[in-house]
Amino acid sequence: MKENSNLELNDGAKIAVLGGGPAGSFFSIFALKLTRQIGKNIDLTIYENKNFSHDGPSSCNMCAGVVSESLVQMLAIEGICLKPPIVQRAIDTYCFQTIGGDVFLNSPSKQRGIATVYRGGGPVNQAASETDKEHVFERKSFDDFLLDCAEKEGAKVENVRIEDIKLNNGRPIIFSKRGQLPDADLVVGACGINSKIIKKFEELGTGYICPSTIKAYQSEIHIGEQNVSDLFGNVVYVFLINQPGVKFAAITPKGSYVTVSMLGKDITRQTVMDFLNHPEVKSKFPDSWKTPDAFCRCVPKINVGAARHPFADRIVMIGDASSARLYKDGIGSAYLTAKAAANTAILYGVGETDFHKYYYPSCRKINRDNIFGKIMFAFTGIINQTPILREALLNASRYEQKHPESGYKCSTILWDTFTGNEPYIDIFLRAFNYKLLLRILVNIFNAIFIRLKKSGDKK
Amino acid sequence: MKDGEGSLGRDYKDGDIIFEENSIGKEMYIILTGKVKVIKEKGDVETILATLEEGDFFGEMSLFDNNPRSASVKALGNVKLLEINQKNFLKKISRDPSLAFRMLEKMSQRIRKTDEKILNCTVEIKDFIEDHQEFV
Repeated sequence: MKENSNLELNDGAKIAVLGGGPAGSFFSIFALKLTRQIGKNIDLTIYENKNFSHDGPSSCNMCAGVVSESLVQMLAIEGICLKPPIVQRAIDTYCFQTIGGDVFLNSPSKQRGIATVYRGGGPVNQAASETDKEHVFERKSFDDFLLDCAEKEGAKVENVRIEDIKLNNGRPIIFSKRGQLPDADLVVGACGINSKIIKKFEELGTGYICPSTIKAYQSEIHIGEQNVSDLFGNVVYVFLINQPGVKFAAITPKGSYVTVSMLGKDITRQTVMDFLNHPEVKSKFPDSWKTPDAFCRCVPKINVGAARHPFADRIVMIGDASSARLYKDGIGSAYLTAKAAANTAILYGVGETDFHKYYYPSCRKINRDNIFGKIMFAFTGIINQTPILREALLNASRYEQKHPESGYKCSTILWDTFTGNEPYIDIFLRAFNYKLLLRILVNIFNAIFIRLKKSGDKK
Repeated sequence: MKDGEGSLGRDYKDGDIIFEENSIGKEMYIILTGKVKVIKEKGDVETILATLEEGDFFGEMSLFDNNPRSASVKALGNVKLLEINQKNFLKKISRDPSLAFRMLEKMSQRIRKTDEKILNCTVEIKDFIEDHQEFV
């Protein structure tokens, strides 16, 4: 690594943020706030070619759009309060639906703490009914809202697609279709892993390699505002129904739509149709409801690994382009990496050594945590495949929900794993609580006993 | 959408007491929508110390010093509040100390305002004493 620690941002320094998603906006907000606090000035421009107020995948940063309770609280402390119409529905319950039954887990904080949002303007192909057309559901894109917050802090936003990035004497130079853009003292790669420009960062020869990914499948299904309220309310449904090739599926209520998110190998439109026609899933929809032929859908990449060397002199990669939490809380990771990068750039410097010393630990923390995340999801998979374990876990959680005085040990582990509310390592360590293990063991014996009794009765 | 389904946090109606002076509290609150008043009550006299609005927070003092609430807080109209408990708050601060920057900034502003109020009161008392020297 180069020993170049003199690269500091002087008064009036120029920063180019490539991407106006949450990572880019968070970076801009924190960098501008911090420079003001220390009495400096920076000239920060966000380059974003999407218009988040338009409908459809081309104007959307494509994710399930769930903001974890932890992030909602941290943003509120930062002065970024999420409200309708940005919040499409406030969630206080998760339902875990397995083929062996379900369990409803209420938020341990006893408040509606999780926000569901649209990343873009909203879904296209709105098969809205006449009543819904009369009452168009008000919505504002989460990404658009954050971009507005960044603008209020003093960021300039340019509707430009960045086509290329090159190095000239150690300084990054960015290009749009029209040619070279103004020089920048720091280039922030907040472009996400779904943009083409990320490959250009790899080609710079700084050692950056983008994270490994899998594909998720997001579908927006219109069922009408009343049906969303009556049938889903403030509940996110997580389905662990052992559908072939599907690791995880969830239905998230938003306005007059529900978002169906699926993760797994080679998920296609047919997999989504099979999921929607599964008896456990179909029972959640209105009786007369038929699976629509057309719906707004997208197939974004999501991180399953971490980027290598997400920084160089005057370059830092943040958000998905650097490190993200496994399967959950991508927006939370964007917040963490953006804030760490902004603090480093403004308070320490923009050299490779500065980012290595002050920014990279935040990425490493996420990467290490993901190892425990993998273990937690592997455990969940094993439990879901084993009927006795599944039954024991469901019963233990149901018991805790009915008897809060016994403590929410099992419930909070499930809650935190699937809501992305706590680091995986914390959840992992909590799973080794002897009281919890004893509770599950008792429920395992119960499940075995009931099975033996049933088979005895049959004979 | 049914009332409240799209709103985070908890709802309070006009006049609802969020917490009372001298009560033990382990939560801080952030105002998502609406206003609250911070009051001290002595007998039937209610003195408004501050009116807080959207984006403001209160109840944070008890999280840091573990002492009972220093004043009461009442809803002024319909209010939506986000509640953060002490343990979660301290966990967040320990993971990211810079999260406290905005709180420190706001708390500093409050101390400045209090200083100003004390100074104004002192000047007023001095003027009063000077004006009424003969009676004293």
